[in-house]
Amino acid sequence: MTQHELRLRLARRGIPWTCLFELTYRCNLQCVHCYLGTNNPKEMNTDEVCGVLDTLKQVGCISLILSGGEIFARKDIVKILQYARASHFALRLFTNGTLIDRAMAEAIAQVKPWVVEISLYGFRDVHEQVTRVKGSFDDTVRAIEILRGRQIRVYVKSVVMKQNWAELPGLQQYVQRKLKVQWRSIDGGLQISPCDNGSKRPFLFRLSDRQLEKYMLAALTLNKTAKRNPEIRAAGENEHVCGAAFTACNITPSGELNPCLQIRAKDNSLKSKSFTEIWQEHPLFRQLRSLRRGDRQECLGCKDSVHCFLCPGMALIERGSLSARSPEACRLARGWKNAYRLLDKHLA
Amino acid sequence: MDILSKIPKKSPDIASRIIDEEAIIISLGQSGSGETIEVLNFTGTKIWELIDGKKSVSEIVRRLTETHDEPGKIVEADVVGFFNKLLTSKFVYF
Repeated sequence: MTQHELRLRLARRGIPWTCLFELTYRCNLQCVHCYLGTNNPKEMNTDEVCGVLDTLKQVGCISLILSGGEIFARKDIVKILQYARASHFALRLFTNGTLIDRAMAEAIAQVKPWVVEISLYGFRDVHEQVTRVKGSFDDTVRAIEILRGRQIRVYVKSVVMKQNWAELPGLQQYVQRKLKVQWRSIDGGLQISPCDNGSKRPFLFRLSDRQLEKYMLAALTLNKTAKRNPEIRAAGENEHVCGAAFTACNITPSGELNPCLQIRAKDNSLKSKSFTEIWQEHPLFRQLRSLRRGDRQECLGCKDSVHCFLCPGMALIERGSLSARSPEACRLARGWKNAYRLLDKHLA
Repeated sequence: MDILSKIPKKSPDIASRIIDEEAIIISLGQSGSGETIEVLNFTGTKIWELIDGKKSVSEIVRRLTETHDEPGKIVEADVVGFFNKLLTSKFVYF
């Protein structure tokens, strides 16, 4: 059975395959593009976090992503990791890596995570322009090397920004050849979100149309998965738009259950309502589950749709509606279409 | 290999859930390899639940025979076959 098949099998039974659990909003870096606002909510303590893990296990969730902020900023992180592993979750850890020393790597190895995903934004100068912390590049690279030495699967990922787009193809090669770990997808880091507090400051770092095309062409050329005339299946109008509230959910450090990182609900505290009550009955969750591709009236018949990453969360932020057309998704889709066209010309 | 006397243990490299009497097992794999996902049927799930690192395969066969109508030898052959599959998938080890 593939992971996709399992996700759908669980979703049909009303079970989220995965939960992205934000353990803290505290972080030792100050990344310029970070979507987290300045508010640090009261975090759940160790027992409360473990209680949430019990709930997730009980409802059948298998894949657990622990994210932040920086998860290793929590003093009880090893206890949480051990509890999660004892609960038989498939663990994915999102981190900047800078707080992982040999002792922490040993603790991580003991809990056998599925993967540790580490953010790297460029080579030293660019990375530290983004993180705004001197020495963070070396600390992150050291963590990658330590983890790899412990046979822990590591993925390195990035966010594509004005500051770093030109050197990301080179960074990918460095990660794969020198650090000998996997580079996590070429397109996942293109979507830059606004801050949770509504600030659109991170949009300043989005690439121009011209930069987008150049980056996409370089990424397609570099990656062996790139094919001339890609056959991308046109999705049916009755298909779900995304996995939020269907195969996936998000929990905040203070214990609020959301459909995803982009779509934050209200009246959703696990301290006052059960997981099942929110998951099954909350209007926003129900609305997302019922959303189909065909509901995006503005997108019907769009010739770029095969390249489009439909994100209801982004549409909600940009246009105030989950089913609206997202101008940024359109821009990215146009970028891919043009990049493929240039690639075709290049290969001809 | 005679596995009847051996005591199976669940691999630490897996994630698992039992949902509606079906065991879902995911092999988390080693660095560089992908995952394997299996959903066990009702009997497979019963066997999975009996694996506790203390019972031998023959003890698991005996427990299953108590609740099955089939002759013990048939149950034994099925269970041994099932454990060989679990071993191949690295979901268990002895």
